Order: sequence, then C-alpha cells, then structure tokens
Amino acid sequence: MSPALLPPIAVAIPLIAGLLIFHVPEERHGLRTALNLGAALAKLALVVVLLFGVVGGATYEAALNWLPGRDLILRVDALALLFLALSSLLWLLTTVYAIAYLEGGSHRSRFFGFFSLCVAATAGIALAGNLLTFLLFYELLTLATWPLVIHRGTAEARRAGAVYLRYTLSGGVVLLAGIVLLESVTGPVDFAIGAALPAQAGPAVVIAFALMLAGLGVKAALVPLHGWLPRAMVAPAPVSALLHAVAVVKAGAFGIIRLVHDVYGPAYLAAFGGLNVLMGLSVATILWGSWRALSQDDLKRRLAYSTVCQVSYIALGMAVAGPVAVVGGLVHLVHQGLMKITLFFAAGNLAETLEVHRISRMDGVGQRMPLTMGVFTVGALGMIGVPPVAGFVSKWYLGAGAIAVEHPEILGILVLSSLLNAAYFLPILHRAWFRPPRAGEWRDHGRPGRLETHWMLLLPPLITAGTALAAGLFAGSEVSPLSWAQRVAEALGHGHD
Amino acid sequence: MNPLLPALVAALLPLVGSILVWLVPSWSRALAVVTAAGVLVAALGVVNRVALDGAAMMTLGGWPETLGIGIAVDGVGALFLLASAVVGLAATAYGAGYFPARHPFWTLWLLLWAALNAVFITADAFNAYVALELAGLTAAVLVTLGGERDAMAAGLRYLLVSLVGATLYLAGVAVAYTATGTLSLNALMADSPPMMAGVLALGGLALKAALFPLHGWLPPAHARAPGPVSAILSALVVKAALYLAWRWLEVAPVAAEAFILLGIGAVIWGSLQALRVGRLKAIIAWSTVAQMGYLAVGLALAVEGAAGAAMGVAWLALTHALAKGAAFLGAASVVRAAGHDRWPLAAAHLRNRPVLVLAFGLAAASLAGLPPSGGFVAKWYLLDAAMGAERWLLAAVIAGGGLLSAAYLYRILHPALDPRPGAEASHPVPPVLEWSALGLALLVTAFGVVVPWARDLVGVAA
Amino acid sequence: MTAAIFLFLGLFLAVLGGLTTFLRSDGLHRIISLNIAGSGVFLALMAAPGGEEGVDPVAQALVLTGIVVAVAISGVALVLLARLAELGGRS
Repeated sequence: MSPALLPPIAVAIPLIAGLLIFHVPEERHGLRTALNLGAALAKLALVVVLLFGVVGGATYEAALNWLPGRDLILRVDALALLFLALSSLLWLLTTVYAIAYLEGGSHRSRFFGFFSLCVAATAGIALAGNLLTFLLFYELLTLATWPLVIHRGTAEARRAGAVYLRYTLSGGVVLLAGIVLLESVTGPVDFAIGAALPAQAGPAVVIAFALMLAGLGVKAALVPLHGWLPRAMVAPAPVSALLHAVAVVKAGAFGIIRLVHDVYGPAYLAAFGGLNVLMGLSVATILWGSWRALSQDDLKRRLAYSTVCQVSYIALGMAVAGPVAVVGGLVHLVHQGLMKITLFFAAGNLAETLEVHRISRMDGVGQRMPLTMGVFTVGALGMIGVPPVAGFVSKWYLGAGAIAVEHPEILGILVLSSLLNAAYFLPILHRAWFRPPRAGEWRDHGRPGRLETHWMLLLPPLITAGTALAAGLFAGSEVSPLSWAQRVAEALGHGHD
Repeated sequence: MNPLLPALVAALLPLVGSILVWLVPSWSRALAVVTAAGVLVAALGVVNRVALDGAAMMTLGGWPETLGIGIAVDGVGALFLLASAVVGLAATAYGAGYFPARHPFWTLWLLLWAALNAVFITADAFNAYVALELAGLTAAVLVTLGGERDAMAAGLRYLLVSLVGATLYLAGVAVAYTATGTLSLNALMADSPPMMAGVLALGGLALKAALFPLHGWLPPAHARAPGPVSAILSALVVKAALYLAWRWLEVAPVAAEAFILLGIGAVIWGSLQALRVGRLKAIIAWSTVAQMGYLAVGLALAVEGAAGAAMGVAWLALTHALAKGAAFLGAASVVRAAGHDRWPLAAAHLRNRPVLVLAFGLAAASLAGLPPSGGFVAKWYLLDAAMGAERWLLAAVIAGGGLLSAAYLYRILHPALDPRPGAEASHPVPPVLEWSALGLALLVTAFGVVVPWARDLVGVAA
Repeated sequence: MTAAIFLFLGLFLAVLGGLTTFLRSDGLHRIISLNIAGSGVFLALMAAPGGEEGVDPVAQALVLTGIVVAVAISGVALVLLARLAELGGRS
C-alpha cells in the first residue's frame, strides 16, 4: 500500500465508521459497539505505524486537487502526530466510557455516528497540510460537534447548541476571511513551506493575523470568545470530555500553534507585535478562567472554566516563544488533555452514579467512590502543577522558558494561576475526602457488583490518570510526551524562520 | 456533435412535451418524467461538449450574426442549463407525487421549462424577451394554481410586475437596436449602445430578478405558490432574469456599481425579513431575496473583471438553485404533512422524518456557505475575488452574509430538533416527495467536492 | 417633425400610465394604466428612429411582439382579477 494513502486512511476510518453507525438499528448494541471499538483500535494501530515511520524519517503526504489552483493536503509531521496520537488514544477511551454512560439512553446510533464524525474531523485538522485543508476540517468539526451538544434535545440543550453555533460559525467566517486575505497577498499557504510573506508586514498581513487569531480563538476559548464553553456543559459527560480534552478546544489551540510557527513564524510575528497580543490574550484568559472557576458550584462548569484557563497555557507557550517555552506549550497539549479528560470522566461518574452535579453536594464522596475521587485527585493535582503529575512538567518548562526570554513576569502569572487552581480544586478534594457524607444528599444508583460503579466507567479514567502520572514521572524517557514535544519543537525551528 | 444540437433539444423538448400533455392529459406524469430525463441528458451533453470543444454559436436560418437569431452556448450558459435540468427533474418527480395527471400544472410547467432553457441558450436580445415573457406568464399562472385568494392576489401582482419589467426591457432593446442596428447580444457588447438602453433593460431585468428594492412581489408569490412551483420559481425563474442581467451588464458595465449597492441592500433586508416572518415558505422566499443580492454583488465583481468572480457567480447560481430547490421541496412536504406552514408550529411534523431534516440541514449548509457544500466553494471564490480586487466592504458583506443566512436558516432547524411530539396529527407524505428534496440536497453537497471540472467550464467564454 | 410629436406623445403616455399604475390600487385601473403605458412605449419606440424612409421593419416587429405579449398578459390578468373578485378579495 502506498504510504501516501495513510493520512487519508486515518481520516477515513472514523468517517466510514460514523456513516455506518448511523444506520445501525438502536437495539443492535453489539454491532454498534463492535464498529465503534473496532474503528478506534484500527485508528490507534495506524497511529502507531505512523509513529514508527516518522521516527524512522519517513514522510507521508497526500494531495488532492479540490478547488482549481488549490489542493487539499494531508501530511504527517511531528506536530500532526502529537495531536493525532492524543486524539486517537482518547477516542478509544471515551468510546468505552460513553458506551457505559449512555446505557439506557436514546438515539445512541445517532450519538456515536456524530461522535465518530467528530473524530474524523479532528484527524483532518491534525493532518492538514495547508490553510485551506485546515479550514475545511475546522468547519466540519463545528458541524459534527453541534449535534452532540444538543443530543439530549431539551430546551436548554438546544439553547446551548444555538449559542455554540453562533460562536463557532462566526469564528469560522472570521477565520475564512483571514485566510483569504492572507492568501491574496502570499498565495496558498502550505504549512511545510510557510507563507511567502513580504519583508515588511503590511496592513493586510497584520489584519489577516488578527482575523485568524480571532477565528481560532473562538474554539480555543480565548477571552473574550470563550462564552460558549461553559454553556456547552449541558451536553452528556462523554461529550464534555471529548470537547474539552480532545476535539474542539485543542483544535483551536492546535491552529494557533500552526499559525504562529508554520504560517508566520515567531520572529515575523514579534516584529509587528503579534506575539505580544497573543501573550496578553493568553494571560488574560488564564487569569479570567481561574477567577471565574472559583465561583462555580456546578462541577462541570468549574471544570469548563478551568479548561478555559489551561488551554491558554498552550497559547502562552507559543507567545513567549523560545525553544523551552514552546516545548512547554506543546507538551501541555497532551498533558492537559489527559488530566482534563480524567476530571470529566470522574465528574460523569458522580453524575451517573450518585446524581451529584454540584460541588456543595460532594461531601464525603471519597468514601463512596474512592476510585473515582482518586483519579479526580490525580487530575486536580496535575492541574495545580503538583509533581509528579504531568502538569508540573508543562508548567516547569513554561516558567523556565519565560525566564529564558527574559519575561519573568510570566513566571509570576504562572505561580498566581497555580495558586488560583489550588484555590478552586483543593476545596473539592477536601470536601470529598475529609467531610462526612450527609444523609439524603445523593440519589445512589447502587453498586453493580463489587466496584463502586460500572467498570467501563472506571477503566478509562484509571488509564488516563495513570498515563498522566506516568507522563510526569517518566518525562525524561524516550517515549514520553515530553520527548516527543521536544522533537516537534526542533522540527518547528527548522521549518520556517 | 455540435454542442448546439443538445442545447436546442433542451429547449424544444419541453415544448413538444407540453403539447403532448395537452393532447393526452392522462399520460401527463409519464410524459413529463420522460421529458425531464431527456432534458437532463441534453444538458449533460451540452456541458460535455462545451468542456471538450469550447463555446459555440449559430444563427437560426443561417443568417449572418448581426441579423439572425443567435443561439449560443458557453461555459456559464451550460452550467445554468444544467441547473435547470437537475432542479427541473426533481420538481417533475415531486410533481408526479403531488399533482394528479389531469392538472393544468403539467402543460404550464413544461412550457415554462422550455422558455427558461431558451433563455439560457439565446444570444439574441429580443429572442430573450419573448422567452422571458413566456416564462413570466406561465410562472404567474402556476402561482395561482392552488386556488386560494392569497395565491391569486400574489399571482396577479407577479403578472403585472412581469408586464412592467417586460415593457422596460423591450424599451431598452429597442433603444439599443436604434443606436446600433443589431439585436445580437455579442454585437451589442462590442458596439456599446447608449447608456439609456442598458439602464432600461437592466431595470426591467432587475425587477424580474427581484433585486432590492424591486423585490416586493417575490415573497408573496413564492411563498403562496403550491408545492413544487415555489421550488421552480426560486431556483430557476429568477435565475433566467439573472442570466440575462449578466449578459446585459457586459453590454453596459456602468450599471455594475448600482447592482452592488442594491445587492447589499437585498442581503441585509432579505435576511432581516427572513428572521421575522412566521411561515416556513415565507422564510425561504425572503432567503431568495437575500441570495439574489449576493448574486448581484458577485455579478458586478465579475463584470468589473475581478479574478475568479465569474466562477463564483456561476457556482453560486448553480448551488443556490439546487439548495433552494431542496428547501422548497422540503417545505412543500411539510405543508403536505401539516396542512399549513405556520412556523414553528409546523416544525413538529419534521420530527419523525429524518429524510426531510437531513434535506433541510444539507440545503441550509449550502445556503450558509459551510463546507463541504457547494455553497462554501462559491463563497470562497467570491470572497477571494472581492479581496483580490481590494473591495473590502464587499468582502465583509460576502463573509458576514453567510452568518445572516445561518441565523434565519437556524430558525428552520431549531424547532425541528425538539424531540417532543407535536400536538397536530400528521398526514402521510409519499416517499418520492421526501426523496426528491433529499436528492437535490445531496447533490449540492456533492458539488462541494467535485469542483475541478467546473473551473474549465466557466473559463470557456462565448 | 411628426416623428417628434409621436415620440413626445408616446413618452407622455408612458409616464402617465406608469404613474397611474403606482398610484391606483384598484386592479382594473392598474391593468388599464399598464396597457396605456405600454402603448406609449410602443409609440415612442416606433417614432424614435426619426422615420425618414418610414418605420424600420425590425422596430415594427419588436412592437408587434410587444403588443401581443401585453395582450396575452392583460387577458390572463383580467381572468385572475375576475376570479379574485369572485373569491371576495381585493388585488
């Protein structure tokens, strides 16, 4: 098989799976599960193949002539693999989780169909080799995730879906405008080559940057474009997990990485102050997200604001620039994904098993659901930046990188943000572990067997929490996300500027 | 084979069909479907020939070009013909499930179709007049077929507007003829008749194309027409006027700026009204007003020579025809199920009809310019053309207008997604109705993917 | 000279008919005014070329066709008007 086919196959597997799953009759659970898991495993296997290939120096690229004069390009480079590997692994785990979570739910074929389409779109974003392809899959992601947000069909869900569409469609239009504007000056922008920018950044180039940043910032939940994210919490937990750890928010952040490094190049952006703008926005987002999280009683909403804050670390790493900070931002893509998905899985378990949605009702939950709260603790500590969980590693690199380029105030921001994280996570842990449970607080659905809840709801978070821990403990090893991030940072450095 | 032969077939076959249907009414539906298939084959033949051999022109009776009635096909005309054939086929299939065999719809529709196709292949300004008037007359009568008072009033108004537009257009043609001595559109482009000719002719065409602020007749007519007629009107009939306007703008480019101004007005006003009105077909009809505004803006860009604008306009016209056809066929199905189209009350009838919901969803995606639909490709081209020509206001209108479209199209989808059952009983909808709508919607989505063949086509100029 | 009179007359009728169409709301009045306007336009078109050797035959053909079209449309419009009156509406 020609290696050029591998990137399209990576997109095609979840796409075909999704289209097939739509037609599976509701009652055929086994068939649906087989399709789901089979596709997820197949994609993961493909990613492993690609990993070995790229390590060995191979390149995979597929181009298709779509619009006259413009190609669709799918290309596997180190950065693409970072995102693709994360999304494939988490797709598998979220699928397992979702199968158990939606037990007894309606329209599961529809749900898993769109779920798979969402993964296909994410794969397309990861593998996109030029701005046009990126835009195409970026918009497809919006269309694939919206039905998941409104899945429950309640009035509240549909309202949240309307808000979601308003933000993401507007963002898409702004991104489109920015891309067309830039390409009217530079011609089609291929990520491997970078944009053919004029020596002096004219107004068109600067405005195009602003537009593209705004368009990407909607999905990446940069302040003030983050408003859709807390509202989208009305979706079922697996959707929140996927949206926040893997698909939508990361797609925006991934786009910003591409924008800074593969389109413009940090040096060019620094020349007209673009990096400063990005830095300002990410700092504002970090602080605002942490601040808002403090006042939320709904657990998922608190986690949502935490996501707003944490994803901006990635943008911050790009804005600070310099090799160390970039590594910090890149590796946080993976680490945040692992930790946040763990937190959402745990939140989902609490909702499913005890009908607990609010932090104020979480007293003593640790006694009833020790495994769930255990993984939650791991995730929370990682968010705060406590070693040895992976979050510490990302923050360390970000801080060191800030000092290396003589922005010590960024270190101050990181410390402040960690303190705020502690302020909104530690009380949750305190309540869960150290307060006695109150009578009548929970609607306990009981224990299936000896475990605190269904095993398929427990296994994925255990795996992700364990991976987050391992990623921190063994960060120095060859196979850790950190070393891959370092490889990516090197590749970025050689590419454009 | 000369590409003009299938072009003539495309125009004459429905004419023959209408006569046969008039003679043997009990075979109407079968005859119509056969005619539709024939027209589609002919249109594909034209597209194929133009792509391979380039544009072609001839004059009936072999007269020299400036004297005779010219028939011409080029890339753009071929695309419009294709749109006519595809939407016409879907509308015919739909009509077969909607109207009985002995019904005036069949004769009128086939006559209308013949006239439309004649417009798309003509190179003679006066021939265009005759064809356009035949189209207007049959279309107006089709509007009234439902028999309700509102439809009658809307049809009468459409008819009178048609007459006004016709007279203006004729005046323009006459002035042009007096000044240049020819009626051939190509010759007129070369000879530049006085501005008055262009203003009159374009004024009449703008009226027939419902360009703001001359759009008042369209929403009532398109909203109150029965079933597939609305689809035919919004998808095809206004396109005929647009096609002629394109030709005439090349004769009198000075009017391009006016088209831009009015086009922007149409986009804004049409979208605002679409957000307000309370009936499904009215929403879709106002959407046509807005989309004709886009087309007007794109036309002006194309005539002013912006690179890629011609492709954008042709593609927008084609995808709008398909998507709007799908939307109206879907709406007609809703009316069949619910008995009315008051919105969001009638939305309940979409709830167990995933075929229709999918049709509306895909059509909405194209109308809003979202990938992977054909509408996105059109929007890309127009945006690229506007930015390349440094017309920033137009770029903003093109980009932002998609969002406006999304807003009023969302009004259609939002209540349809509410899973609670509705209060009204639902009449059955024959599958052919749902599937013709979905067929057009799938096609417009497919046209978002298979673009390259069209580029070469549009570049083939007469 | 004669041509100029006809031209002027034609334009006058056209404008008169046009204004009346807009200002009147009664259906029958509108159809009649439109016909007057149309006749004015046709008259102007025939007179415009100057008419040294008589009227240009092509212009005649244009106007004849225009008359036919106007008559056909007016006929249908009148039928619709009558039907509308039966149904009890105003146009």
